[in-house]
Amino acid sequence: MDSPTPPIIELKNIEIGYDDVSVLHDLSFSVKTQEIFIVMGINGCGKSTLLKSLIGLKAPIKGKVLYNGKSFWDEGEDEQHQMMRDFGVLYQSGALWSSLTVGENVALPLQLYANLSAPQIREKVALKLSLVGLEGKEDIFPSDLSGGMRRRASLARAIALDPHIIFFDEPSAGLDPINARKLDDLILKLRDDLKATIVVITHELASIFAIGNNSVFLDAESKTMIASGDPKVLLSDSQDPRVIQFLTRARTQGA
Amino acid sequence: MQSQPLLKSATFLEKFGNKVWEIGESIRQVLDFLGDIVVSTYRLLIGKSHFRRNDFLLIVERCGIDTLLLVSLISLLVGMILAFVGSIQLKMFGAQIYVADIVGIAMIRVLSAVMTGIIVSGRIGASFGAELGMMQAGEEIDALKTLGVSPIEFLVVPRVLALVLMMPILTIYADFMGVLGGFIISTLMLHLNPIEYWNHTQHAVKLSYVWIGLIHSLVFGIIIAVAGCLRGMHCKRDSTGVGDATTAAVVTAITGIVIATAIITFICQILEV
Repeated sequence: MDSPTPPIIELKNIEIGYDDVSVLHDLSFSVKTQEIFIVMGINGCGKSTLLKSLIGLKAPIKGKVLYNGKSFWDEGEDEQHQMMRDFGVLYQSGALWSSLTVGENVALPLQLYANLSAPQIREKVALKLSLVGLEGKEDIFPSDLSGGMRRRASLARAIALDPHIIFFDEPSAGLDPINARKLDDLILKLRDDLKATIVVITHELASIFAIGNNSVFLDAESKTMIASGDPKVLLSDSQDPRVIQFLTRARTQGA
Repeated sequence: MQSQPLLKSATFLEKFGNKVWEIGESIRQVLDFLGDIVVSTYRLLIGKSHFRRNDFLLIVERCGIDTLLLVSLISLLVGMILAFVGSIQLKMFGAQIYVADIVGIAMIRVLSAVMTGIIVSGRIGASFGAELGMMQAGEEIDALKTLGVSPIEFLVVPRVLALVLMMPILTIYADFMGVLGGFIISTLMLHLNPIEYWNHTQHAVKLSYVWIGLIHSLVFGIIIAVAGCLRGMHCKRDSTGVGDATTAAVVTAITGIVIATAIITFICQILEV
């Protein structure tokens, strides 16, 4: 009998917030290797704040974030940086460095950490850009790209170091349905090609059902998670009216 | 920790306390930031920093190109104005030739550095605040952090070093332009002997004055770069954030320049230089 796959990410009783104001509390969940894990909830429920704690930008007030069993926030700065090199992050705004070209954006992580020669870096940049459908766009500045292209260029940068965990913050926000679908397909492809674990922060129902195979639902009122599991199973089995309302886009009573 | 917003009904004492708290927080923020810069500069010196030489050279180039014309114009005009104003008073004593002393000493000791500092605050300090503010608002700084790169090492240290390098160079240039301005007015309009003017300038300006001017410029370079970068890095992520950061960068820099000038002048007075 196979032993169960250990979680690549594990949250234990996390409480996060700003200053002393708690935004989310009592969060405990785990993400298995190569899962596409969705963090969902309405606006203002703390999804992006949770992402900041996951990617090393904001220490939780209490609790532990474990990567492969190692508690991220208990490690020293150097070890944290080492662990962060295994993350790829696609920010909601793309967050491409505006003073650098698309090629330079993708090349920077490689120049810093990959120990490759300049021609090897150029080759790898071209490969990553072709993977996201941006062949030949190396010399273009981010300001000259459309929203969808900017996000794909940002994705090429996020996967430059072949990370094992990729975080997506609202990847399809502001995209038309066709480009949003293309991005969803790209996420599935990356999971398969890079054998990566994917964490997606979103409230786009189409994306949630198209790519997610595990999830947590964050509730703004109770400031904690109120459901977890496969989104499709949550849709069919959940008894919580807040989850059902979110997943079915049902009208609020009295609206 | 941020201070709590004031209620309309807050008493004078509460408002005063809140203001004192805010000032204390600002000082702590500045000291934190300076500490980070010192640590990052040390890491650069021991070769452990993420420092891109090309970015540094680009900033150096920009500091020169963006300010050279304004520094030329303003310094030349200030030299001319000093010569005019000085000559009116000195004429009463038949000592017009001492215009050369006034222009030379004032420009080289302090005015060139102050004028250059104010110009650089407006052009470069403001652009540092706006650039870093935009990067903060657009999550570009977060993207650096998640890559394990310190934004202080990557963005702030090159800017501070570029201004520390460029301010003295621009100040020396402004010294020359200021003295030239005084020379033009004195010889062409006040009809002073050019050679005599030059000799007087050489006699009046000691080497120590040049050093004092350079110390001013070095301190101003640090103030302008730190003010611009600090305001940009702490920019709010809303529509007014970048504008506020840019304005605050210039105001902080100019206030810092004035305070630093007063302190350096006072120290020079005590040391009798």
